[in-house]
Amino acid sequence: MAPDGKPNAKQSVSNRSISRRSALRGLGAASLVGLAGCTGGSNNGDGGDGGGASGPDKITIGLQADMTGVLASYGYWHKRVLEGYVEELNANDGINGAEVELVVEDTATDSKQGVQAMRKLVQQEGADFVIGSQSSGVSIATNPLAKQLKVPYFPIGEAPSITGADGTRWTIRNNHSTNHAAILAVQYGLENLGKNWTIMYQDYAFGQQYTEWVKREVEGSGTVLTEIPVPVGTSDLNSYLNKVPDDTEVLFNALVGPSALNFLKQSADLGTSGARLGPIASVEGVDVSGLDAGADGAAYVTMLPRRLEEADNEYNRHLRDIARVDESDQVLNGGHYFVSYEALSWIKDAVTETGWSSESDNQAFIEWFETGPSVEQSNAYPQGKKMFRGTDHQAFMDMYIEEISGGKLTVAEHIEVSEPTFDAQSDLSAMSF
Amino acid sequence: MALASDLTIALINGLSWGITIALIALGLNLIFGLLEIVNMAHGSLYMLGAVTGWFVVDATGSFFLALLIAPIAVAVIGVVLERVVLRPIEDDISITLIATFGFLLIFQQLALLTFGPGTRTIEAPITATLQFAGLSYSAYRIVVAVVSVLLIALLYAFLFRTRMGMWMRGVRQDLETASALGVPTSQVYMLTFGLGAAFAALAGVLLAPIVSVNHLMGLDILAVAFIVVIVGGLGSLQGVLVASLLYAFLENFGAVFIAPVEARILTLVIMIVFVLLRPDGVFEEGAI
Repeated sequence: MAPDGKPNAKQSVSNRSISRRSALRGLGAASLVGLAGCTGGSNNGDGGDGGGASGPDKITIGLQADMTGVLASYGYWHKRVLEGYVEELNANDGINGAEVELVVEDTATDSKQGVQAMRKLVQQEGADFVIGSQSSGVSIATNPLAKQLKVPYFPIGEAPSITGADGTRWTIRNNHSTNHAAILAVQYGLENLGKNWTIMYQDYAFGQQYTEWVKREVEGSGTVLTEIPVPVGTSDLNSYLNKVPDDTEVLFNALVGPSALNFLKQSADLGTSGARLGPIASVEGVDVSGLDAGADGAAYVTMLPRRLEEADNEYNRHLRDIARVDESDQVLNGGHYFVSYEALSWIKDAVTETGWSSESDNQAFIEWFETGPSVEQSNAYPQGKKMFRGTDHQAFMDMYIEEISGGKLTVAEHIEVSEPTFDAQSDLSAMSF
Repeated sequence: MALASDLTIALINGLSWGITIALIALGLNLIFGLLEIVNMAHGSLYMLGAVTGWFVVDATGSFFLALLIAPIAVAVIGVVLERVVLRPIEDDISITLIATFGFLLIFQQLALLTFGPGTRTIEAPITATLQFAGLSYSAYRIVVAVVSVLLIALLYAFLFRTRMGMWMRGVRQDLETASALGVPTSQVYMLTFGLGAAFAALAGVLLAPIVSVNHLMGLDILAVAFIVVIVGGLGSLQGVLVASLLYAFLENFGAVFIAPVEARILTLVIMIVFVLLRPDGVFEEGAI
């Protein structure tokens, strides 16, 4: 771990304030021990020293997990990998001697329930830090609540606005943003597949955002012939595929789950024009092993290959051991499951670097990310090197292009990223806490 | 793609998809026609058929065994559901509506626990692609449409050529008289629910290689099934068949000339107009 800068200790002290959460905890503690006027919250209410010289006894990590609903496969893997990681941390003295506890609440992949889950994690279960939902809708809805509760929030949703117009000072995203993936996918597509593009997308935020950024990137170097929105829940894609122009060279598809799998099968049946390219989210949790040769050549931009053979190194093997990948009969969300794992690594490093001991150190914790820390590939960061941009609290990392070949995803290209791929959409570091 | 090619694909796709939708909706309407239960769990029974089919194929490698086992397994679930849960409350349509919706969620969660959150595919037993006039079309889709036609024909033969079918129609027309004449209404109700569930499961297995298998797949198809049941006429099997084809043709032909999303909106608008003009369904005389 090699952070680029040091936390601003002066600011962390001067900005110390009593949060609503501290007050609630203090009230609870007062009612228990009969002490009126106790306003300093103890860490988790179970032995923390409220910011003294020694560290906390326990650090509680909340996971706002999509255990049910359309993103249930993400929730399954984020929970599984974090359970393993917490177990490993606790077997090795926790974080700075503090035991790590994981608490999980289901969002049902729904914004309203996601916000309720966040409240429960923080107010009832005492989460000190919350690793957020994979759903952009949930992430966006939770951002203001994280600020209100004054809890560092690590959303996994990928909408650009999460660290842009919808971001707050309490938002820290170590996952990639949609535009990062779109920019690199277009770069690959223009260089390797062709100039005439058609975009077929699931008609909600996920697909619309990819469409916006792909169009923006293709313009100038190529042409977007047409855009074809597909309503969520559409099973039969034939009438949509018939709208793909014959001179399409690249058929960019930002579809999800069943629609993405149906797209692969039905586009092969119809002999639809264009090399198929899209984000890995389209086939996360989707079993491609049963697909016939018609699916071959479909390519996806991803952060980490699904199969170990495609990125076989000690860090990736360790990650898979932690998540017990080989013991699960579920399809691995290989491009995403490490994000929650690495979020906990970032929390661990930030706690260590800032000497965090209670919520009163939260501002210093966040300011540490604003110094633009970067890391090299390691057991803590198995996906690879990455850097934070302090302005918008956004991480950047290498990406891969994976292709389906013989029912397997294989790496076609490793795209190295050494600097941010897009300008900051907002200056979160200038916002108030 | 030339207009003629687009129209040809729209015709074939509308026909094959319409018949397949009818297969799912017929079970739903059969249950409503006889029991007057709006079975919100029907989409889940379709999903359970696909999930059971996936497990059977995974274990045995046989798609045809899946076609046999999944409908039987889901029919048993349907029968138990009717006898244990719905029978005591079947006189109150609003309570049965809530109860079946509850089971939609329960079945969905059971599938999530057993099948998992991912999306899987069942390989089609026929993988050939038909090539004609410069067009490509899945041979399996054509086979599914033909099998659906045969199943629908079998259902009609059962209803109009067997004693149990006659009892089912009799109970639908006049429960008291049928009961007084010795028709075993309890068994008729049970069989009807089981038959509707089996049809949903059969559709689930047949469609699995086309639309893939997911624990949420029942929700998507449920909306379409309800639309065609309402347009076709509650309880009318012939009406459902016509409404299913109408729905699929409108959507597919519309998409040739306008954006597919707009075609879907237009389809729904036309369906609403149809309901306003013929509130009792396509064939106004009604049930079965």
